[in-house]
Amino acid sequence: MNNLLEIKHLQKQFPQKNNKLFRKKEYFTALDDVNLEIKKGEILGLVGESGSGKSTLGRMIMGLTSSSSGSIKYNGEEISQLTDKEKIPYYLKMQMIFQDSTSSLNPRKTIGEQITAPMLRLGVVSSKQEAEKESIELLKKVGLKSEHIYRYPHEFSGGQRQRIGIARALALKPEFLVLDEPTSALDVSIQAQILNLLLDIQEEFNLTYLFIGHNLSVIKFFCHRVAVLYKGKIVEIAKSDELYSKPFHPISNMLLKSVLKLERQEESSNLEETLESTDMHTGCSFSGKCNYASAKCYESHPQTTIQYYSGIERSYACYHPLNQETKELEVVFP
Amino acid sequence: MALLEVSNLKTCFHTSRGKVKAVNGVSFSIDKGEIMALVGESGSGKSITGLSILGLVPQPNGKIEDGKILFKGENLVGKGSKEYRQIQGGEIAMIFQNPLTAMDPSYTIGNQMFEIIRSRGKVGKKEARDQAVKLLHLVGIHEPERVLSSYPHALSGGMRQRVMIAMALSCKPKLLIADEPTTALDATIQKQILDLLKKINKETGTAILIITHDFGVVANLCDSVAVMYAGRIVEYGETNDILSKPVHPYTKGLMGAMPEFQEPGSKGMNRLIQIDGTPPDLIELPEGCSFFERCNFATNLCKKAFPDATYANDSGTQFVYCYHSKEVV
Repeated sequence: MNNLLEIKHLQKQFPQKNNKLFRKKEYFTALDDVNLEIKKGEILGLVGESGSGKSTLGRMIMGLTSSSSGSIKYNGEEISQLTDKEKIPYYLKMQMIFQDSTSSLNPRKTIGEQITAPMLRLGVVSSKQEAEKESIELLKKVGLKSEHIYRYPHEFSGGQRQRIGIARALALKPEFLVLDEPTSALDVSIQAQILNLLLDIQEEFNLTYLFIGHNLSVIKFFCHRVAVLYKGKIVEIAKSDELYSKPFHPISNMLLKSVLKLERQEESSNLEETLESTDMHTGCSFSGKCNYASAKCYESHPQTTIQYYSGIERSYACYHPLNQETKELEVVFP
Repeated sequence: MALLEVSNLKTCFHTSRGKVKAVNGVSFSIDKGEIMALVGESGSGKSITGLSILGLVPQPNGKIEDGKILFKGENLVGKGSKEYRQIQGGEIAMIFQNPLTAMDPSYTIGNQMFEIIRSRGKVGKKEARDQAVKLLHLVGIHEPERVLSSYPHALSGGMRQRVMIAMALSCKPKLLIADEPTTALDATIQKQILDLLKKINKETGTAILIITHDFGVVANLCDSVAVMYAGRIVEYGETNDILSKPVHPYTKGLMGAMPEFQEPGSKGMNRLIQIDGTPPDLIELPEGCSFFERCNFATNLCKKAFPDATYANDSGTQFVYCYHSKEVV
């Protein structure tokens, strides 16, 4: 399988507000040295706490946020430094579905207008009639009715609006979709409908998904591979069932422990929360909270280790990985 | 005597299209120190039930049409707003889904907390500060002084929800209504907040009514559950009973829709169980069972009249409104 998307050493820094005239600008690093590959036809999950940079990464891939350094390659072509005009052909190939379906739809345009607009703008269809016919097809595909094209977004429920978002994203027949928490604003029963729909579409059109979320049980059900993000760094990548059965990184373990099970669980001992400390040390950003941290962890950030376990790649960045009883692993340092 | 007894509560909204029966005959009771959950989809009337108890039904369209809300034996329905003021935030407190909109962005956390504490009885400024610090410690905030002097926007979502809980606790309520307290938070923080609510329940004996759509929350926190659908309770029971043996098709569907319920290793069945369709229009509710159209077990009997309550277990603690509950199991 070839890689559809390749991200190398990607970094994003946001300038911080600074009222002093001659003081050097300070930056907040939202993403730091991110390396990620997405294969064709794969569903890759991206998990992390809020503020870990998941959505920023999704937006950078889509070209909605510029990168500070590093490269993003789509089908082997560099796309991170394109001008707005040069980006246009890529919009035919990649689309995004947003978390908040209300604010991502235009309240003053009918659904039909919103679905046909990108088709007409980018010349996928030759006439308005054809675009309308296509949009009816799309609405039927996502489980809505043909008369819905004349309605406005406020006339729909949250689940229906998310379906419209999906129909609009599919209008240009993309091959890659970024799903930014598509179900976190929905009820469980509607969530199931939307997830099933997304899976149906993925199989039908052989799409590639980047699924951003924080609900690990959804990710486990939905994704082939999972990347765990923590404070802008990718700390572990593994196949989803392996990550669940044997997390290597303490952060993954912490995230897994926070999944609510249907049996009563033991209460977590750490009930306290402290304010975000702004002083950064050079070491692992999790070391302050980690039970396994040693002096080494505070000094430098661990390198990403890649292991091949019966041909399947697994990578993590930790000095004290968990679940390492299997000794026959072949360890490679990049 | 139960702490709170709601019987046959009916809350309606008058709109230009007609009368929306948001809560349509809900009855339940909460004992002292109990944690109960109201579960259901959005639009099932769970939040309106919570607001009705607190006398906060949106005005002027909303109205409690029928029913009783007995709190410590006293009926709250029909109370004037001045009398109600003593109960709101005092005996019964509420925490909301979105703490940011529930706070005033232009005052510091400290100012807002002191105001609440000083509004009840004669409390000096210094004493109020001490109490606020104590409350923030109780909800697990490490540096209360720093939090007191910061504004709501400067805190993280989890922090804000903790402050919200501290504010709700400031008047030592007997009952705490939590309306989806963790829906806006991410998984790690959600667990912490749930554990915090459990701790508060244990330490202060405050009864909690938690409104949620997540059975994971129910399993971790609650003693009993009421499942709501289209303004009615369709199943009620102790958490363990409902989770191990749901007897209403809707409860079963809701639980099946959760990815957590997917058996590990069952990759062959790679779709979630889904409840097709959408909830009925609350203006024109069907005469029979409101779940009729989406139910796999429905027969002609269901179309005619809403079923009566039947006991689903021998001890009589779990009951269900369904004609076909025996077939569901």
